[in-house]
Amino acid sequence: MLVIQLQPPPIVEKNDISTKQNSGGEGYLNLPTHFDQSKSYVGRAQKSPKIFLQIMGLKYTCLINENTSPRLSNSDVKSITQKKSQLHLSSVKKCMAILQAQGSEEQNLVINNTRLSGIQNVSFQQNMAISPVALMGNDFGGVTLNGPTTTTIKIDKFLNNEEFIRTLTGSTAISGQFEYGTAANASGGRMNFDTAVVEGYAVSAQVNAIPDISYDITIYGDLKYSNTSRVTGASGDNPIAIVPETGIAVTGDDFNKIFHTYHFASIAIQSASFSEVFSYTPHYSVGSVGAPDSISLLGPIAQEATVVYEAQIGFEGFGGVAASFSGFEDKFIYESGTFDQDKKLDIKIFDESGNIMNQFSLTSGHVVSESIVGAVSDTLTISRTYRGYKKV
Amino acid sequence: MAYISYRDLPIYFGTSANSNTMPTTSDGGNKSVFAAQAQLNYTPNIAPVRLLGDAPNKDNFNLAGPPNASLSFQCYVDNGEFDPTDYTGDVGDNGTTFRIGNTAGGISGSGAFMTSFSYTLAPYAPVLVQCDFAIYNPLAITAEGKLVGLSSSPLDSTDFANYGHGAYSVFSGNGQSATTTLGADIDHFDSVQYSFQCQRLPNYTMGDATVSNVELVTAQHTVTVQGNNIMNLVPFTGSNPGRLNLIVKNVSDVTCFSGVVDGRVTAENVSLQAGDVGRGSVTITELLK
Repeated sequence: MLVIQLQPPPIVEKNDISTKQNSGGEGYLNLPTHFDQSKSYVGRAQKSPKIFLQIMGLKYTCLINENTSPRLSNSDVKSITQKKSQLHLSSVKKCMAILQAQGSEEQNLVINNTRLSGIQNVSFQQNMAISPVALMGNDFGGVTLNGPTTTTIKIDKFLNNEEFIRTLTGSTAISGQFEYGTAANASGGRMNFDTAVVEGYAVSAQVNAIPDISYDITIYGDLKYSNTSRVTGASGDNPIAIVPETGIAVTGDDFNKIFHTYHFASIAIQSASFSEVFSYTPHYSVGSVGAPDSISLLGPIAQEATVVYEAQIGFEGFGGVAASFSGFEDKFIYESGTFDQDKKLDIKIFDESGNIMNQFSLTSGHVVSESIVGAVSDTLTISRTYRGYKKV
Repeated sequence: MAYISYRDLPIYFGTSANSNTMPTTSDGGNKSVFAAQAQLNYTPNIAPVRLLGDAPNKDNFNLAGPPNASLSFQCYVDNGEFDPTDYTGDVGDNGTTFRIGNTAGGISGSGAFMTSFSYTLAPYAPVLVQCDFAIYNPLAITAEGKLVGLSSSPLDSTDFANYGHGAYSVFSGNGQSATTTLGADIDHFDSVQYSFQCQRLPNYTMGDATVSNVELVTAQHTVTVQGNNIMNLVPFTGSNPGRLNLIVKNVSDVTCFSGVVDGRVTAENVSLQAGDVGRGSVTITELLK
């Protein structure tokens, strides 16, 4: 049941208002004891905090985030009558349906027929390539189309299951649907897209936090409204698992070296991040509009990883080597040409049972930057960034 | 005098490719040129003359030939105004007329004959045509740039939905696709470049400063197709793939202008670069005269 508490702005009324609807689509709102028809009231749906109901006299408007669309106005309500302490509304079912659909719990993202879980944020950005034209004899000669419309999706999600989207890297035929409403027509509620590619992703893991991952997806095909839901027919995402505190492991050439050379019991890693970027080139043909004729994935795939760990001092007199900060490269090692260009680094995410859910491997890597930071009331930390390349 | 803004310098042609009638500012009295840029070069053909026993001064120049003048511009084309294909071929002996600026003090010219025009069809790009005219008559005596009030601009109102655009144009064979004409290996076209060139011979009569007649001596056009492959490598004698149509259309599917090239393959090139896909180009030339 959707509960809306009406209040005359900015004073807060204490009486709760509840809504109820019958099979005929009618409903009613319980009014505050001192409801004054000449005044305006604002109510916030307690179930979905972003939904507001504003009543001004016998006119009411459902507002989503107060001023954003969809916006339900008088035209969506057949009649409003006041009966004792209730405000009766007909056709409130649509309002209810719209209201109920706007909560994030009602939003779904389906990619390649899989309904994703663990999503924290999803955004669609569409840019049109229109530019003004100046002509001799006319300082503004209209505007012209000078490029294809570009659409990108950004997805932020927890890394708490085997990643499904990651299996789609390299594909040029990703399709899906973003459902945020239950509209029975094509005017809103669902957007279908096709011919999409994963341009890149980035993983971040930190102490005392669930690791997360973000994806950048580019839609080269169409993005348009649909009145058919793909949610019910989609298969579920991989099951969510708990990532224990010891469930993130970072290993690699440098860290093994530090561990074995200086005999540290363990390396205290504070955070690790990893990213991959894929280079796609769309090919458009003369006389065609819409999706490109073809899309090429050009290599190499660029990888980057950053590890922040606590600096440790090696044993004094170990093998005749003086004590030193572990892992910091000598400054001129690259100029001498002796640096290692084939470093490997792995970030592994485990579940409670010790099974690897996700593994991110940097290959053919080299150190591109490092820093050492000392701060008051904190330990000394070293940050190392690696860059690697992988063949397509 | 302050600089004149580009918005006060419209270019417009006469309504005929072969007439000495000057264009007017009325809608039906001119062919608007929707120019993005233009260049006018004018060099009177005078030569110094040194005489025995005479100290040279500023008057020791004599007319040595017809003026060297040319007008070049880059423009968008719609279906109702300036059309470059109207000026190719043997248009006659008068040539066309043009104006830059207003009718009172702008630069006016007559005896203009097209020597070349070219354009490129590319995906998602408006079609910009490069036109070059040789001017065989002396420019108007009062010629100098003058300010033109916006209210008197002779250009048609601009609507970019009217102008030729690569996204809506057609490149095809004769009753078949361009791929079928060129061969199945080249089925994706990054760009199609077209160019027309001609040579004309102006003839002058004694006692007359304007050109008497202009002969079209040679003319040819070329299309270069860049895409995802090349045709079979050019045989020793070249090959004739067949007729290729280039139809420049606007968003309303209206033809702005068009051309047909039915010639021989004169060149094929392959471009390979690390980090990019392989690209091929085919050049086809047809002699018109």
